Amino acid sequence: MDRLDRISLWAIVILIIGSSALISHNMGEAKPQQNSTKRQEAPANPDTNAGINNKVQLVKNLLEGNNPGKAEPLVRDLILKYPHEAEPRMLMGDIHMRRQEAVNAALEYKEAIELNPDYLDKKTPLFQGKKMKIVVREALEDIEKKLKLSPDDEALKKERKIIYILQRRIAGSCA
Amino acid sequence: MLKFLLTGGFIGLAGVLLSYFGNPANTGFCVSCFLENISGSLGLHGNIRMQYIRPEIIGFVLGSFFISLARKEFRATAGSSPLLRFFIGILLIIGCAVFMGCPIKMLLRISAGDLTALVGLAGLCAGVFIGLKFLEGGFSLGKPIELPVGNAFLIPAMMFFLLALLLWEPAFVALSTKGAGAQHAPIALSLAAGLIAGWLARETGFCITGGIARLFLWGPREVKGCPKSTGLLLGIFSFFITALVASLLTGQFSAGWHGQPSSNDSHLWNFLGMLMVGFGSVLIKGCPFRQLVLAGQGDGDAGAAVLGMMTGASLVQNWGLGGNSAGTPYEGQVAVLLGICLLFIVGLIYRRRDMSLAPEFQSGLD
Repeated sequence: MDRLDRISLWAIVILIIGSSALISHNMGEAKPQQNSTKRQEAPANPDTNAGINNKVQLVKNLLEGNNPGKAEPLVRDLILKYPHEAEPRMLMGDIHMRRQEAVNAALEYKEAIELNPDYLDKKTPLFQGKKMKIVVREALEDIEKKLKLSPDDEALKKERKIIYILQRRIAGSCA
Repeated sequence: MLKFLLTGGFIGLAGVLLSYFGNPANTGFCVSCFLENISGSLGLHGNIRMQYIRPEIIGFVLGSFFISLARKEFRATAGSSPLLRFFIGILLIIGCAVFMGCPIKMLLRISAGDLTALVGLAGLCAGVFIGLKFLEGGFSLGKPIELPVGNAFLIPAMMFFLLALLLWEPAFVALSTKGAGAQHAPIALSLAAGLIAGWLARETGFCITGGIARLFLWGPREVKGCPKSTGLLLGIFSFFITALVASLLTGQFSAGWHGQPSSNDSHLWNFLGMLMVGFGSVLIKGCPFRQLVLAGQGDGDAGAAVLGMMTGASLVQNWGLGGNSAGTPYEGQVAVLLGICLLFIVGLIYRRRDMSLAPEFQSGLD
């Protein structure tokens, strides 16, 4: 048994211990990501669509009439009623944008694209990538300003991390 | 020297231009992503956003096939542990998927300013280094033997079949209407780029891991002997420079750590994913791209690796092993650790401790 054999055996032992630790650490954990993937591919329920479409239109009218205050409780209700629908999340992002709360808007958009990636797909009519790109830029500027004032704010750093994920989603991927 | 510069330059330029003309960002050429697309199109996985028969892959194989036929160098060889190569092919694609790109895409990402891909480069170099230690320690998969020429046509024939499916679009072939699978350059352009890349790579032996391996093998001599000894390195250098200039000219360059296409901040797993790719590529004598080119010239062992890569591409999608913008999934992390572990086991089992570099690995080193 030479040096390469010994090093390899050590590497194998370490890798087996590492993967066993990883498996035992993650055993039994929920997998929300897989659920959301299944959700996107599930056929649309016509009853759900009819219910949500009327309310979404109402919210859009309120937003067009520059009335985000009245739209917000309706959207919150929609989010509670239809937690797997992306559109209410997008609308909530729009409400935050009207109030110039770019960070909150970006976080809502991130939730929306997790539920329905079509919002970032140029080949679908839902595409809103350009709007999200601007929101992400403004949100990151906001967070950087706040972080300069309080560099140890963990909540801000967490938000920045989520917005970076949205930024990467907007940039595109082969997967 | 010129042909090496031309090969690298062409692959770099075509890689950037294909993205410009419709392929996903920084994905003008990517063997792992494209094999995932093809396997999805054939119904081997159900991700509706990853289904397209990529003409680039067909072109790589057929470009190599036509030129080896023309040069009368088309020979059927195999018998160097093809099943093991099939298995390592699976691991190569898992490693690439965790990193979100094969070695070619890694260079395309770096040349487009994606600094996170540098971590992958470091991982690839580490993997190549480990693989070389095994080669120097007598690793051998056995010497291939010549077979009846009919064997050599299997993989090119499969590519002709895929091309027919792409052009014919029968009902059983799935083609994405949205997502990455729906983003593609015109078929003729992609096919032509693939054919020329396959032809040039067949002529020069272009291989990213091969270039890095030579640097480790010869050390400073590899550079001092320029241009006599540094063909592969020159090819990689020319690839990078051409892709960088093309990215800048087409407005696809954006330097930074954040917001890069096909990237995430799971740097450890990106490093380990590419380490697995480098390690495995050295053991089977070539990166995923090189395996396709070798399969085109009749190498049945490389053909087994290509089929393994196709299987790996399906597994990546079905088991959710690939990295995404949020990071590396837990399943991918376990797959990488176990994959590297298995490569070490393969390395140990297939070592002949009474010799150093096996004869099949010595060709092309002079």
